Amino acid sequence: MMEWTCKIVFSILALHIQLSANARSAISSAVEAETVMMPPLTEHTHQRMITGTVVDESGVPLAGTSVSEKGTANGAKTDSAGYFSLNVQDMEATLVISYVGYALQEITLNGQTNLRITLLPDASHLNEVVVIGYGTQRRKELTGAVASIRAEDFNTGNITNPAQLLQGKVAGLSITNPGANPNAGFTIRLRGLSTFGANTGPLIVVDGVPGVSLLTIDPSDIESMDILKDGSAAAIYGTRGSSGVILVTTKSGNAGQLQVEYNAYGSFENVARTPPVMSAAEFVEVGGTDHGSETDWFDEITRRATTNVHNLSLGGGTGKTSYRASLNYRDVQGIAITTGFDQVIGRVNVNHRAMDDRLRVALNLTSQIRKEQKGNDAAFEFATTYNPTAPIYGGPEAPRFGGYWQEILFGYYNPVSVLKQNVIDQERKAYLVNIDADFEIVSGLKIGARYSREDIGWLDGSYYRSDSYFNGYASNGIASRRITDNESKLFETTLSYNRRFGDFILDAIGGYSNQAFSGESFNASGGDFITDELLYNNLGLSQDFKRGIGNVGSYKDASKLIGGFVRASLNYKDIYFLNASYRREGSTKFGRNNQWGNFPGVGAGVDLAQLLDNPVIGQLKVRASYGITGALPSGNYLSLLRFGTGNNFYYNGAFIPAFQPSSNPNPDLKWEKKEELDFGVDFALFDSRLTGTLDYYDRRTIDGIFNLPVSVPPNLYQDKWLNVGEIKNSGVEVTLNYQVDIGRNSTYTPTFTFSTYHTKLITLSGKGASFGDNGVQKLAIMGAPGQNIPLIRVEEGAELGQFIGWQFDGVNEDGTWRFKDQNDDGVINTNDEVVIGNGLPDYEIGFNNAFRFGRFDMNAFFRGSFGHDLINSFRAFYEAKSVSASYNVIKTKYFMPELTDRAIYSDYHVEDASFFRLQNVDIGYHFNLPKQKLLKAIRLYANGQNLFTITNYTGVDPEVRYADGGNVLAPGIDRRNTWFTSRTFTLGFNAKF
Amino acid sequence: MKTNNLKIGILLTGALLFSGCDLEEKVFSEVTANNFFLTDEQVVTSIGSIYTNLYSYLGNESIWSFNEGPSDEMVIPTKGTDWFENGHWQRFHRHEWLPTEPYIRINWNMLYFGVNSCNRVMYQLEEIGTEEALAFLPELRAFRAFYYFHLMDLYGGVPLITDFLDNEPFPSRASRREVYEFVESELIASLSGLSKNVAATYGRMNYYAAQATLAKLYANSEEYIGEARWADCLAACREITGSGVFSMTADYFENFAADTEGTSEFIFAIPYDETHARGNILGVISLHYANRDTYDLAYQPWNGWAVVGDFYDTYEDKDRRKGVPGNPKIRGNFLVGQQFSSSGEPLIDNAFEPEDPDGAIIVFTPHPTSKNGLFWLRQDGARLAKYEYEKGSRIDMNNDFAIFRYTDFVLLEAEMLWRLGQESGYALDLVNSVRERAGVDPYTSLTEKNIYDERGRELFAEGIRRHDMIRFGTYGDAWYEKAPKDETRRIFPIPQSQRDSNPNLDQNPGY
Repeated sequence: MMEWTCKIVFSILALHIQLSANARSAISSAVEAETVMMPPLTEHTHQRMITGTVVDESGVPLAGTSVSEKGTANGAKTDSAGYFSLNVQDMEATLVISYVGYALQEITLNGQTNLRITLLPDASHLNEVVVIGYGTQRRKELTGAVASIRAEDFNTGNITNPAQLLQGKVAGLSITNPGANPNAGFTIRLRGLSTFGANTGPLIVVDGVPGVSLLTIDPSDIESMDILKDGSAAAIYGTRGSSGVILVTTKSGNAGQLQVEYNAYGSFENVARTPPVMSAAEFVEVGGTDHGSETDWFDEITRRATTNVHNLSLGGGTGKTSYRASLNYRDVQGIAITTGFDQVIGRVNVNHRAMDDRLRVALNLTSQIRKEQKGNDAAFEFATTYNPTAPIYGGPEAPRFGGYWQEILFGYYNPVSVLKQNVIDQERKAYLVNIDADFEIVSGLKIGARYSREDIGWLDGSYYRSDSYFNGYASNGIASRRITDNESKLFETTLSYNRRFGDFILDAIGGYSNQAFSGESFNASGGDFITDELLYNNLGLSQDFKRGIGNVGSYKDASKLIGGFVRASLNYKDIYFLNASYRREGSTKFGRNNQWGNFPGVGAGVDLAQLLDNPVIGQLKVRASYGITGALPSGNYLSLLRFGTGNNFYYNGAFIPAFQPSSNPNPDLKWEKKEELDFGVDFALFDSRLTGTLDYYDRRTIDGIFNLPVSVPPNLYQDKWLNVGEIKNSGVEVTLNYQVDIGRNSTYTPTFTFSTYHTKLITLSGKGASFGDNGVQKLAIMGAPGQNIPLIRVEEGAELGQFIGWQFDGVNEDGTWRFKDQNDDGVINTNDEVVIGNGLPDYEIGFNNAFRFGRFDMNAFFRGSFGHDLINSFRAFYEAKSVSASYNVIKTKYFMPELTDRAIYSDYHVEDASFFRLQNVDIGYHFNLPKQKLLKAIRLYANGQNLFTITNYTGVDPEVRYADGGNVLAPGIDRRNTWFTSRTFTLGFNAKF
Repeated sequence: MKTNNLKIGILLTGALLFSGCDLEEKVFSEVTANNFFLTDEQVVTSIGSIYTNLYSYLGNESIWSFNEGPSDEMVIPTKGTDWFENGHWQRFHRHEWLPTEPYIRINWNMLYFGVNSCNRVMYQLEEIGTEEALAFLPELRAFRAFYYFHLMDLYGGVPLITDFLDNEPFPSRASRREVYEFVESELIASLSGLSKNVAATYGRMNYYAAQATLAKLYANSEEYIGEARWADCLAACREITGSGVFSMTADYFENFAADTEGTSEFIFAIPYDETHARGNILGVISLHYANRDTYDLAYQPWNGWAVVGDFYDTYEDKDRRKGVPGNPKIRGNFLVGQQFSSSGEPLIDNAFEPEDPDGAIIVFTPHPTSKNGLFWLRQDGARLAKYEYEKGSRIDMNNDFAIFRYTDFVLLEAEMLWRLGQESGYALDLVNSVRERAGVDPYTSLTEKNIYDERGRELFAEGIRRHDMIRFGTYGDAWYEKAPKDETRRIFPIPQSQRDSNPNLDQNPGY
């Protein structure tokens, strides 16, 4: 199998060399094909020269726009200043102006000889170029489900992570980050859950490099994002494509005049919602100990956070070389005191063409440095539960705890001290180098190669002061330092062929890809410091190391992916479309005999509009596709028997390390595969005013890689990574877009997205392992104090996301809980647990409203998820007045004064968390600038994020929780360490020089 | 032009030559069988893994807790909002556990990890085949028998896997008698190869540890196989007591001190250490949160395990093993009365419960103030203090733990003599030697009850009580917050998770 792939690769290689050698003879024809379309000037007297400039909606010249005389072959292209000239036969002629991504415009000359033409973005996007794996296609040629979001459609405002740009914009793509932590990652989920492997989120491909971290790219350097949703589209990235692919294209420069762009904004971020807790007076009334003060802990740990962002970019070039360089600076404060990050990302992009444009070389360099002050999420829990009558400072314990008030209870800490006495910092440095080149050997035949390298280093440091009761007091100060370095190296070569055969257009590509990953880390931590002032900067002062109890560790691991791929696309008369691809890939992560997997994809489409010839219908494409994609396990070496050190063993009077197997090895581990069928309709009606897309998909994941309990004996450990899971997932996605003219120069464009899916776990059994009790497993523990009980029920044959627990049946006369005795045996125990909710939404919608009134533009974006429940942990732990003996009490509309019992979790704490949110409002104005050289365009805007949320949920954020601490089987738990939500106002401008 | 083309072609394809199709997986920071177990020293590290597994002998879900939690000695009450966990600790106390309880599963997995590790290491040693390697085999056989003894004691008949290469995916249960006979024959067979050098084998399965395991096996033979084997038990005890190797320490608490490396009473020890051998967490599971200041602990205790008041009351006040209420400076098995910091300040719980009779000061009452069953006030109950709390102790304590302690076998010897009706004067002397050290008056004669009570007082919290209660027939009785239960509770259920992944495992009756 391995040899087989090698053969393909080397035959491609042989072909390369042969073709390169023969290339000389083909040069002349290639040059011919590139001849530009300026018709020769003739002597005819009735010919007139028309000149003009083509600009975009903000007045920026559009270079390379084609301008042609309708009904003739006569045409021209604009230069870098957007200028064109064209001789026409007839002064009443109609000019057709077209530019990719912009609406085609027809202008009747009516005797005009000098024109200024403004192109507006193409609403239909029919001719839009869409980035697909290893190439591009016109939108109309697609046969799979691909969504494209361009920069102008991105979310706006204070964006801290590129994932935010897409939030809610694409049907079937869920992007969440509950709470307002600026350093928290976003969960990205495409079409629900279809793998338990490493990549439950989509594969990110940046400018052709798969696996790049999205965080390395500054949001303002992104030109567009294309989302490969179905199996056939993603199959070319077969091995990591099971959760979809997001292709990020960064901005590049255009040759011509220097273009300088400067964007800046400032934001204010305030706390939007906090958990409802008792006031000091209420707390004392229900029996809480009164310490005589009144403290609003929420106020004390939060602030109005300000953010400043500056982006400066230069673009331009001469002749065959174009470039763009940008510098992005972000200084972001979190709403929690002492938190935030600052970041600088520098980026250079150079494109060069040579040898009659047959050779193209592109270089992308990105460098990032980001410094995060993480604070501590636990502060939000303690701010909620801390005694509201306690002061911040003083009290009997203050002298030994740095002046802070503290109470000696289990896991209970003054929230202000948690944030102010301790630091958790992280510095991230990332470098991304991406060089690719292609060379046209003969017309239509290109050979290409890419080398790319991504290096990400993290330097972590934390320090807990010796007087920090939270952590650090016990060990007289404790510091830790960790350095982690991950790198990935990619080599790729491709051979592509593009040619028209009569009515057929063929596009084909084949290639070889080799990507190597490695990660290493070193860490040290120790306590007992003579001073707290040096924080984590001088670990040598830790007395723990002198006593031999400091901790030091390091590791290194590596893996490799090698693949070969081919794809062919066929277009017959723009009516019938066929795409087929195939990737064969091997990974080191699998057992020796199962390293290679096959990932085919095929799709077909027909544009019925071309057959119907109805003027109302511009496009009516029906398409169907099928593809197989794969997923890798999260860890390396799962197939090998490895030995690691655990504890030490007392042997002959001394402790020596004891080696034991690290896990049950599985030498048979193989690729997880997902089969997906997708049916779709794309349509454009009424001159592309109404466009839309409908998709239905049905996916089945088999050989799911899962860590499962196995029988002990014969296994050494209680769980083992096996290929056992089967998940089924089906859903519907709708996108509708309508463009309304509401007067002169005014448009209203609503866009509506809708998605729904159902994820069913078919099985997680087999191969000597079964999942849970008779196919039911309970997991996700509620936690301390006193409720170490599972919350989630995962059942074979049922939908994912079920909550289990007791059913609330009222409060007894004596103030105790009454739960439903489901089996009538007179006792309430585990056997009385029933399904009491589901954490995954029934459907999600996005509703964008874009207005343009002359120079004003306005955008309002609503987003909602419906039908999901959340387990409100705060209520489950603290909504009972009895907890006032230790903690402050939660008081929502569900608070029951008659309840004197302990807090006990039941369905009473499960709430419908459907919500509808005004995610984003943006109002901008394009200034009418006097004709002058310096400033070309300026737009001023104001933006509000998260302005209101309609929901019945009483917790802080009704957002869907797709995973619980990384466990994708346990959605729907609103944990106590969630940050409060925030509302952000931003004022900014974009200036072009 | 021509050369340019060639250059480009070579450049673009050149990359390919550096890449191949090799998917060899490289391991950097872990060892594999290929690059390890080559030297004697490396072989010894592999033996170590069967011992380090034993570090989880103590704790909430352990062999120790299975012999203490369901006994009349200790209880895990709910304290305020802590320690409820949907009632599973209360069910533990009341013998109402379900096959799905986490402790049922965790203990099973720990014991079988030990069995399987022994099988694996035995296989490895046989593969290596050197004299040094093979010399470890008797120790491993005996140790495996020790794990099987506990599996048989706690779960009844279990799958009997004795070969690392035995890959039967769904092994069935052997009968309890089969496992019993396997344990007995393995122990006897390995005796001749086991070391009698106690000092050199500290913390390891030596000759006396194997005899002690045999003694425990024979002591409860009636339960295991339906026939009493008192004489065999006596013989095994006498291998220990008559060896001259062990003796009673002058001070009872020497055996539970933090800084010893065993005493003359230690037969089989776990050499716990705060850094190297972590797992003795008997402090954190029992002490009150505020007791951190009593011992300047480097951790905050969990306020969990407490002593059953009626058990506490079986100690006379003058019993040195009992300790002095309100004075943690005098060693005792229990911590009761008002609590103070290391500098003598009263410990305060600012947020005391309304029912707390003495308010903010913390006073451990041996009998709970709360009248609400196993829902106690935070300060209710005597706490475990038998194992010395070192000043500044970390959560993992330094105190070595004697799985088998000499005095246990002195009392067992006396009990066997009494049961066999032999040497009654000598038997009485043996029990009285224990009582004398405790500072209480000697017995004038032995009865089943007074032997049982003395064992309780002497061996409190050593992970022995359940085994004794079954032998003395008291395990099904009622005691504090526990109703009488039938004989099915004498063994625990097979963990549900195991039955789910192995269809051949039948459940024990009554579950």
